[in-house]
Amino acid sequence: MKAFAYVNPSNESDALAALRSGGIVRPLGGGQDLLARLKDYLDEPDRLVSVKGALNREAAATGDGGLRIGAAMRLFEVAEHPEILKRYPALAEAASTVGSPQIRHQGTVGGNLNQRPRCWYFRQEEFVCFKKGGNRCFAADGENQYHSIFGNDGPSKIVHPSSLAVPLVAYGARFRLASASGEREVAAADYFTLPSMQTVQKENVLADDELLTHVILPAPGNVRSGHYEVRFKESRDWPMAFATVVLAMNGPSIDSARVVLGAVAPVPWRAEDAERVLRGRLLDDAAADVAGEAAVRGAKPLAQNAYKIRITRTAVKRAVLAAAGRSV
Amino acid sequence: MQQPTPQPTPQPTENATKYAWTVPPDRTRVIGTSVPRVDGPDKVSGRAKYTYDIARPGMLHARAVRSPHPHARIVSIDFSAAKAAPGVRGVLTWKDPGTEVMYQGDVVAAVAADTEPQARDAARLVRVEYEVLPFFSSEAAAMQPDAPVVFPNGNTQAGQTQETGDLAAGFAAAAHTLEATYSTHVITHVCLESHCSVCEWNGDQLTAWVSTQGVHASKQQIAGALKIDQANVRVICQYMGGGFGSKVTADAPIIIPARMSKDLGAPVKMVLDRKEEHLDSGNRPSAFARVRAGVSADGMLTAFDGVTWGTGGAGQGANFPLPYIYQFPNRRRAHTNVYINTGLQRPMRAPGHPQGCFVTEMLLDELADLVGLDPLELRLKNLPPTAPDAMWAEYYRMGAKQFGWDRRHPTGDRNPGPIKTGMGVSANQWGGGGRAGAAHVRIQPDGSVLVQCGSQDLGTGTRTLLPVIAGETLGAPLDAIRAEIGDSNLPFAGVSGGSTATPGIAPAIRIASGRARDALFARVASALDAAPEELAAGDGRIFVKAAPERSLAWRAACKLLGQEPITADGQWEPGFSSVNTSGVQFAEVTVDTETGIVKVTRILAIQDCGLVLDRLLAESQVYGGVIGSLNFALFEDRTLDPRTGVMLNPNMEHYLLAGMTDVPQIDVVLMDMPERGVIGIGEPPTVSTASAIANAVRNALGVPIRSLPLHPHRVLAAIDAHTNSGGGPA
Amino acid sequence: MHHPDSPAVVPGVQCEHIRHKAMYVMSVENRDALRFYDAYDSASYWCQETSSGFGPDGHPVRPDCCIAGRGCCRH
Ligand SMILES: Cc1cc2nc3c(=O)[nH]c(=O)nc-3n(C[C@H](O)[C@H](O)[C@H](O)COP(=O)(O)OP(=O)(O)OC[C@H]3O[C@@H](n4cnc5c(N)ncnc54)[C@H](O)[C@@H]3O)c2cc1C
Ligand code: SF4
Repeated sequence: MKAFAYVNPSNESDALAALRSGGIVRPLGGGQDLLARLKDYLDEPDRLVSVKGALNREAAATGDGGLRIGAAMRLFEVAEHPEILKRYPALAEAASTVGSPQIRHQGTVGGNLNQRPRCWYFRQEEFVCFKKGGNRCFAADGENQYHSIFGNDGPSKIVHPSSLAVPLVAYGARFRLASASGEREVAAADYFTLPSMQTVQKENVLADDELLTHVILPAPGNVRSGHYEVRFKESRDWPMAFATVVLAMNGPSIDSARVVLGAVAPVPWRAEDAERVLRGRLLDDAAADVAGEAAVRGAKPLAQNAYKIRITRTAVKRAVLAAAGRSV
Repeated sequence: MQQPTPQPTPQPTENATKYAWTVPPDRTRVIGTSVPRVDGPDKVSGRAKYTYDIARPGMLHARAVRSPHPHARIVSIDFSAAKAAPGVRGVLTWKDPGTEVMYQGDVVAAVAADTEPQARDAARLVRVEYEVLPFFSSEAAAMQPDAPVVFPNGNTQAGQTQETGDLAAGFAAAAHTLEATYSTHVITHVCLESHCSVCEWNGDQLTAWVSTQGVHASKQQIAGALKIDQANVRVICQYMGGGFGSKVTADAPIIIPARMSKDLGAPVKMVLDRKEEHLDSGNRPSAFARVRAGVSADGMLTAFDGVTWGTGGAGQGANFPLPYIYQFPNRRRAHTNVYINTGLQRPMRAPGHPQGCFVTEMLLDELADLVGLDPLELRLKNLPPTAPDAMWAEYYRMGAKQFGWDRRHPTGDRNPGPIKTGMGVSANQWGGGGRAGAAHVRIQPDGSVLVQCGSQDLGTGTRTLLPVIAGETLGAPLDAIRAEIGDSNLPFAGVSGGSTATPGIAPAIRIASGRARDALFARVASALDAAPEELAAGDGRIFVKAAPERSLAWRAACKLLGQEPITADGQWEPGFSSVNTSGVQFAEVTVDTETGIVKVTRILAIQDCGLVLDRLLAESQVYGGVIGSLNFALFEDRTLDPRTGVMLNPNMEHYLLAGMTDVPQIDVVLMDMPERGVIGIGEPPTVSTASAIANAVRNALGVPIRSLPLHPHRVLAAIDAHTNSGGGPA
Repeated sequence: MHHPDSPAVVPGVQCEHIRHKAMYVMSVENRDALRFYDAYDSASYWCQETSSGFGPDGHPVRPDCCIAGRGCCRH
């Protein structure tokens, strides 16, 4: 592993300044992704800037009834936070299943949202793919059983790895991004980017000298939400497909819906067809079925992942049932 | 020149009577009770030093340079940049330019440096120029008739066809025949402690700390490879994080540090990382079987015709027993080894048996459905005759009651809803007879006891057997007994493999302890006013058999030795151990038909191993075996990129392994057979869980299950294939 | 058959450098095993000269080819 300098600033502005200190600089959260990439020679930064002590670690109420979560909050804290559990339960649930207790205690919100893909070609040094500056995607016609079924017309066939990103998009969250020269807010849905030849080496709009400092959740309103992850192993494993649904209710029927899919596309994937068919329906078994069907309309499986269509349909169906307070 | 192995069982000697395992009724047993591991506290507190933890003064760290290609010719090796890197002390060429590397991870060279990170970085600076050559990344590719010549002696090697009985008559007698292809996949050993060693020379003497299943075997191999006297090599392995068959060979991670240490005049350590471990430390071969089988209307197996193949990697075989256990009076079997460009197979816990078991047990369930018989009934009709080493029928009946087999539904769970449940069974068999081992017992005048044996503990609990056996025999308190193992300077013992370690060393420890006890009796008898033959030992006392109140506490008795300890030796002798065990397992699963996810809910394992020495240790062998086999069924799968031959999951992330929460309730029933003496139990429990699980999945879904692993997408594919073929319940 | 790991390596036929696990596993013969299944050979082999599964000539170590006639074979 290439030797690197280590900076441990105690506030946001020092951290942002350190990002501009020259050479390749990476922010370090819990290191559950970044340190592994260094050890596997996938990334060779000159400097690591620890942001665990520099960024905010709380979840605080906002003036308009929402919640503002600091990027240094640990995943286990997200999973256990009473306000998150009460008002954004899908987010707490997503955080509660990440990796293992150790990973959840080290891992931060900022690190989770900015982690790099888990594609097994990306993670093996031998494959210099588009994402690593090479000239092909090995998964396109290789072992692609864990790859994307949506949004996969671009150069890379990855699925976005973040569990938190999906409920955050579904709840309509915004991210606060800051650099030494200013700050901006971006909707979670716009933060993650589909790969193009120009952008394939990144998964989001964050600039190299920026940090994601806060996640800002709007007031939930009269919603019911549901989250379902299709997981093979019960720990230390990745969901094969998952879904968050957030339903704005009008009595027993659904006023409007957000249906977001995870582990199926290079970004958290809005299933707009499913959102449409849910609008105005009673929240019942039939709604779960039609939402599941609609969610996978337009899926374009690769050679080995057609099965993901079925499990994605299942995830959406069960997430809707969960929103209705029912289990499988 | 090595001796042909193994040896037939010789006849019992008089020691077998004198020191028979029976315990007089006036004594509490130690043997057969649950004695916790003596080194458990050291292991959980981190005091136990594994090879990985060994640090020697001035120690250097070696790192291999490995081929990134599945097949290539080494054109040149340039060490100049590596030699100039910080901390580098030396380099070594393992394969000369002009020779070929045969798989990804094949060792080319090595670098030694002051620290491990320096060695890692420097190894990457060794510039190896390769001429890339054609390779195979699958059995199918290697078996193509027009495949390029990758292995000059043949890309495949056909074995002899074995044939018994009259196949045509067998099929003529069949009311139903079935043709199907079954397969199992390659998995790796995934020892928690990777292969590692530390080598240190003192003049012409080498001390090697090695994570090995055989300190004596390693000693011999290291000496052979370095062409030095075996007497000049000492191998030490006190604690070990698993081997599963992969740590018998003295390979590059031992020989490289041994050679570099000699050259550089400093101790050298080499530890493989997880990726190297997956690529180049052994694996279980794949198995494919195209089978045609017949069964009569009343459920008697009539004929079996199997064509099998599999790969053990670049030039190693992949054979397995087939059909397994059940009797097909007429059978034929032809096997072909297929060579592909991957790391080489090594023995893996019950080599061959899980594969043969899977093919046979899956086939049996399908035949049972053709006949319309309960699969257990079909099995009972076709087992070999019951014998002490062939108890399947009895165990199946017992297990059926305990497991609730009567609640099993016929093939295909008809309950509505996506979650289906099912049950399956499977049998296993193993040899597990050891025949060599020596032990030394010393009773000190202060009452402490030293028991020595040059075996090693690969995680099974071997060390604890020494005080258990010596304590039983001497009657000494267990905490007075110190056990020494894991050092080739100790009395000879064979490798911990083939389930032979315990049956190999237990008789030697018993005899040495018995002799020491008799010597003690002779020295203390007068103090008890008795003849030595009138004495007995137990529960921390030496006493007169006829009048137990005339007794001496253990330490008081030993005090009578004055300044002269008692020493005694023992060698393995027949009469204390035997060979051949049998067992059965039951599995219950749920399958989610909307996701393909299989969860194992219950396992029942019924297993015999002759005389149970330590119940906790024997049970823990079964737990470990069951979990390993569950991993084989559901999770582990070495995945290669077909176009590059590069392994995609050389880690513990995409190479799936059960976590605590993925492990079901496991009930273990150990069948005591003390009259048979000690038999090894390391391997049989890992043979049958996978097939019991797979048959339970088949029972749940009502679709044929013919290959492993049962990853969700493969389960869904099996459901789809069945639906598309218009199938009702299989 | 022999112990399940036991292949037919016969002194004087195969090279003195060939190795496999059953040489180091001290086991008694499982004479009855033939009752349950046919003889088979699941052994893995290595060469004492190279400490690997390939001989000094780079070819795989196997009992069928580590015999007289192979350049590196010694008796
Ligand atoms: C076996 C295993 C299973 C896992 N399962 C899951 C899972 O199911 N779901 C899931 O979501 N994840 C999973 N993970 C990944 C884990 O969640 C993430 O690695 C973890 O949340 C990352 O957090 P971290 O703080 O440790 O990130 P780090 O490794 O510290 O950082 C990750 C990346 O984000 C960047 N970064 C960190 N903080 C910021 C910031 N504030 N602003 C901008 N960039 C930043 C870093 O530079 C780095 O590139 C798993 C990991 C493993 C090893
Ligand atoms: S490879 Fe050559 S030297 Fe090695 S065992 Fe075979 S014949 Fe002997």
